Amino acid sequence: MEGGRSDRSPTSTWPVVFAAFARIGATSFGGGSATVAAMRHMSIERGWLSERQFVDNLVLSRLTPGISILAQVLLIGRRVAGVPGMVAAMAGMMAPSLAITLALAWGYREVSGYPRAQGPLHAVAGVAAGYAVALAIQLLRDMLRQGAPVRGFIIFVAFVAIAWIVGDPLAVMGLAILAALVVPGAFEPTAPQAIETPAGPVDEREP
Amino acid sequence: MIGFGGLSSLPVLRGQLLAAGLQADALLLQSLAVSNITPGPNGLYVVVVGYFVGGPAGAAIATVAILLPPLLVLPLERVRSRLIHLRRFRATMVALSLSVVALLALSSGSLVVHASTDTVGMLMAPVGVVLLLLRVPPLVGVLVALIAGALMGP
Repeated sequence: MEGGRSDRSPTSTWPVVFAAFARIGATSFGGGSATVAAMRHMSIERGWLSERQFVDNLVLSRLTPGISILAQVLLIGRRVAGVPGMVAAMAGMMAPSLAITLALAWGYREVSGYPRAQGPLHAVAGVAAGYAVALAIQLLRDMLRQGAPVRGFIIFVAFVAIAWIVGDPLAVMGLAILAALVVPGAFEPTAPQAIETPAGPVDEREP
Repeated sequence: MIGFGGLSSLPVLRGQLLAAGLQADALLLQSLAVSNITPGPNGLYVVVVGYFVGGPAGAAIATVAILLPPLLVLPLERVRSRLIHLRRFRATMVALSLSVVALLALSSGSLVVHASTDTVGMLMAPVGVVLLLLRVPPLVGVLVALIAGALMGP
């Protein structure tokens, strides 16, 4: 078995992959969506992925724990140049971002001692808190767009209440998994008729 | 490190920082402030937390911690077609995502409360919400805050 899968045939070399991702890593200000847009543009323009393949990778990466952009980077790198491409893509993506992030963190530490810096830094922290709230709103909006917005919102409110009472985030996530396993119909994202037909969808495989 | 992208890891990390007896909200606010200025994934704020807590070594450990979970995508890709069609799997992903958003809503609310110790903080948090929802680049918001803080600060 020597890489028999047709979708794994290398289309470029790892230095090219490294350079391509380093450029994105160093220039994609503006968080997740800006980075994803830049990766999409690059992959399709260079003929590394089709539109469809990119979306497939995106969906799969969203299902993966951790930073989904990094999962996407791994998949694209491997498709383009095998395992060396995978490592090169990750290194290219992380190195510039990490270097800038650490330099700024160090700078923040140095500056935060000065009394005159307190006002501006405090204001930046306020904006950062606002950004976190906005991200939560955006995530919720994206979730509710997948179908059944009213039911989704009710479940969201219920989870907020549970989280408020329980406190431990891991316990709340555990409860969510348990609820989904016991009543999967309540969380089905699409096509309510798939739940209601007694015969059930053909692709449903009970363990 | 569990979490589904971006800031989803925040509630869990906040819980762990609190359990370790650290000033979780202050630490997270500073780290988010730094990571909003830098390019690349938002999730890199975890590295800043690592740096503030444990210096360069802390940053290195945090980097490894954020690099490991995405590797799970490789085995996931092999079973992709089977998983996507499993009803309970899809339901679990939806339930988990909703619970993570709920947790994030609470944690970010707590961050706002922590940042709103004075007029500037109280003003800046809504400004941040509105700017990001209007898709204004995060750097602009940070610049606005720096200027506002310099003018109105103590």
